Amino acid sequence: MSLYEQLQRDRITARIASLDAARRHADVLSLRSGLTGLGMQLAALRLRHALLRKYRADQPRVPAGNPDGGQWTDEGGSGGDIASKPWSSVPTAFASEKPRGHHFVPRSIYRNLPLQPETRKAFDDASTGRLHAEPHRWSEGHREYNEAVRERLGQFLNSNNTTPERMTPDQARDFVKEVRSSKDPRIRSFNLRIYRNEMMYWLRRAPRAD
Amino acid sequence: MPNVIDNDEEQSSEWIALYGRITAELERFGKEDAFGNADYWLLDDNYGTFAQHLLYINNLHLLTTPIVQRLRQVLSEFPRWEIVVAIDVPGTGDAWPRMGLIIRQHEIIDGLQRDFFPPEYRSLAFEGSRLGTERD
Repeated sequence: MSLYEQLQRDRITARIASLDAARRHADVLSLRSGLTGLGMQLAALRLRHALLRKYRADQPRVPAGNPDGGQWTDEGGSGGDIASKPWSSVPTAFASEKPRGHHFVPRSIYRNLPLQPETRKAFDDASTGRLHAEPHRWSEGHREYNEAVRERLGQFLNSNNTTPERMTPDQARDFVKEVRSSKDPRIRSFNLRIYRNEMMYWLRRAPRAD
Repeated sequence: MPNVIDNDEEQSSEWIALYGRITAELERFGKEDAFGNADYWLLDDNYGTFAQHLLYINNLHLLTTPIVQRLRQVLSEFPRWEIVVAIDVPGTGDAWPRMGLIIRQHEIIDGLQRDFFPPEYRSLAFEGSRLGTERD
């Protein structure tokens, strides 16, 4: 092969690599944009659904004096005395919980970490809330998600020069934001699938304009 | 289709109780790890709405007829619930398709693809099982 041919070939190879990189970048941007869009659509659909629910004068409210005093509450109030259930071999870590949906930082990652209570609460609170779409059987890449978030948490603690003991609630919330907007395909595709399934559920239930 | 429980309090209290019962059974046979480094992982997020627990099996030695039958017996106290058993063996990557079982009190839906298993696991059989359909 002549020097000229070799140069031509190198130039073409470099051009292909450049196009590949550009396409990958465009894919990432498209997916991020899609995720943001889906999140907004889901929020809008939830709001619409909430507004369409009929007002009931007899719906119970949280009593005055409580932090949420005056807010609507579910039928039956707290009513969840789990210990009184006949099958109460209940792990205390989960007691009195309502369904919280998918935790962006899996509990398996931080459950045994020596976090401050408020930091732990920040992770506990960071979830999708109850999910409505039918779960997808055995199609989830949950283990990969856990691994990826654990790796990211280690990196986050290092880069912030902190430890689990010293991690502040604000840092926990920052980390949750990082997870929610992560470009790591193991994290992004899992969260995107949950958003997409929920959005499809709400779209199917939304009343038609006609 | 899994059963739907619209009452959050009810769904949650049963989810918690069944979580404890399943864990108590599995702890006798293996170790739990959410990152695939042990035998199984029982999903500890309650997604709500459905009467369903999700169990990931990371080590096929846990996939035995007696263990599956014990899990089914646990459901006798929770008749509307199901346990989805997802096979997730680290290292198999995309070489193995997604597969698993759905254990219910009255039946087992068998979605295993045994051709991918090592020879000693290919003859696994579960009493009261049937192949899954689109409606499952």
